[in-house]
Amino acid sequence: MASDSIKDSTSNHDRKDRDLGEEPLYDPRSLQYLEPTQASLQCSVCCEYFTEPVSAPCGHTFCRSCIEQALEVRSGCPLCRTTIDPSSLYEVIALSRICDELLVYCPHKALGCNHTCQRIQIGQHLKDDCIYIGTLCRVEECRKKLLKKDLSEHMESCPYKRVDCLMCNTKVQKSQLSEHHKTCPAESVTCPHCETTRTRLRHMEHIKECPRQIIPCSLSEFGCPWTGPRLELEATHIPQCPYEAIRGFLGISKTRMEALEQENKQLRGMFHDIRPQVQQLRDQVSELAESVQLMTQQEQQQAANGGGNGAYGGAIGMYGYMDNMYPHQGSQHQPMLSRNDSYDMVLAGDGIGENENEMRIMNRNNSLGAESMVSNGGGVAVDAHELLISENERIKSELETLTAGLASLELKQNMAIMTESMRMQEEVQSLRAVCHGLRMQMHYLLLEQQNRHHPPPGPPPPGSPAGGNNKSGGSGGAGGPGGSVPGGGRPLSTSGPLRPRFADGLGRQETKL
Amino acid sequence: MNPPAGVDIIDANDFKLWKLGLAGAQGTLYEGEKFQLEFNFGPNYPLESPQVLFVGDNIPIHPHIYSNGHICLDVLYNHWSPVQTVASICLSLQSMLSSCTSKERPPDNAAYIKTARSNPKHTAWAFHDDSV
Repeated sequence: MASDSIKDSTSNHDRKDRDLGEEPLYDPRSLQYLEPTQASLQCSVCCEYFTEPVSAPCGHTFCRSCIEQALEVRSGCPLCRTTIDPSSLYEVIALSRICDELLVYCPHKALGCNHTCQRIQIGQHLKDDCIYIGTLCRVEECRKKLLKKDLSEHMESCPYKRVDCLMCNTKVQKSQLSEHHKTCPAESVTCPHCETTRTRLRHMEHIKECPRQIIPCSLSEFGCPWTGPRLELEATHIPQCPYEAIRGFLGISKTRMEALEQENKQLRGMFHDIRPQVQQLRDQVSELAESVQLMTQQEQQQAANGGGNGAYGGAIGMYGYMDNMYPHQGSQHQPMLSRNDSYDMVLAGDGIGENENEMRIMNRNNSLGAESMVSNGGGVAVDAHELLISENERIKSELETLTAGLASLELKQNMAIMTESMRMQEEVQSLRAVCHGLRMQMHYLLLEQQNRHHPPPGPPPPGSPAGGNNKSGGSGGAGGPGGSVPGGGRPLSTSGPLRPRFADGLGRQETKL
Repeated sequence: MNPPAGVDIIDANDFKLWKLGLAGAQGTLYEGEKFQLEFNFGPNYPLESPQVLFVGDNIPIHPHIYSNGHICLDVLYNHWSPVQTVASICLSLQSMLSSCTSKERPPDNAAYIKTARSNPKHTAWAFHDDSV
């Protein structure tokens, strides 16, 4: 049937995939049968000859594995859909025997095994007889995959097989035998110098004392150029060797040199340890220098502002007539200005000082770099190390002075700000007073004018002109009492400029400028 | 061995995907027509059914065949049995076509093809008509 052929090819494919795995010797379902397919002996699920056939109560027969798998998916007979209890399946012994007696080819037919036997015997064949079954080389290091038939041939030539060295009786891998012969201690060797022959083992000892071996002078390390047979070294060369004469000195200088080298190495290590520290310090110093510069700039700016204020104070001072009224105010301006100026001078001086310091630091940095380069190049590590330490100290003290300078600068700046602000406050105060005095005078003048135009009893004009002129809100309150007692105001008006002064004293709290 | 009458193999080289030709049987509404079937075998075949659908330009016009090629046939889905083969499915389909009395699409064709997934096995089929 076409359906069978179609199905066969798919299922065979799957099985071959599975067959690649090692242990089970063969898959019963992939066996090839000699007889043509008999549909009556085939499982209708896998379309192969029955393997372990079982029947269900409904009378249908399947391979055991086929029906068990099918029942896991759907619990009915695949042919008649009757429900099947897996425990009710029973083996069909006669059918099983018939199928087991079918003749099959060896599964390794494709590799060349032409063996055929009953299906039930194929396992035995594969286990014992089939020489086309895959196996591994028995040598641990090799483990090559090959067919059983090729094993004995392979064992002859397996490069990992161990063979005896005929000379020294040790086991050696076949592939390394020729290599071994080059080093085998039992191999006989001819000394290249004296042409005597002995085993390699003994040759090794011989070569150390062969009288004909060409050797250099024992003082060759100090520069003796002589080479010759060992025989002649003691006999003829040593008595003549110019280096022999200063042998003691050479030995001493050698030990000294070694000690020095050792020390040099140690110092170099220390130098390497210290280098990053120096770099760190250098960074810190440059950071500090920057911040100091910043501070100086701020100071200078502050000073410039202070100068502006001074000018402002000067402008105020130009209200000369005020000074008559408040003499104490004017006298205060001058000393304050001068103080400010002198302070600026100090600041400027400091700024210059800082710059000089920076210059010095930079110079030192440069010289330091040069020193480290020298020490690297020339290897005069000792000096460089000491230099570095002293440099370190110097940088540290530099740092300290810089920190102290910074602190004092800060203090100075704070002081300057404080005095400045106090001065400003006082100035504001005085200005306030001046303004108030002016307003009072104005008020007084207005009142005077009104009194002149409208003789005594007339109601005073609403204080609007006065209110309009005086822009401050508080002035209304201050002006109020003046305007509301016109009658009583007249006698007081004779007292002249004194009155605003009193009012000034009273209205001070209310005035907001 | 030969495929059943009216069935020819177009491509069966891939073990997972087969293409077959199906000819309309003589004396039926589909006489002279040629259709293409696609079989998609999953790893559990034959324990589970293959995915079967009509492909190509000519999808048979049949009350149980949707215009996207999906076939409403119980043995392809919940009435599958592992003893069924490609040949037995082809025979079932041919008998389904042969017993058809009027060439028309299923009444819910338009709605179904809009929502259906590509694999007809993901559709929840309701089998109600045993006559065709």
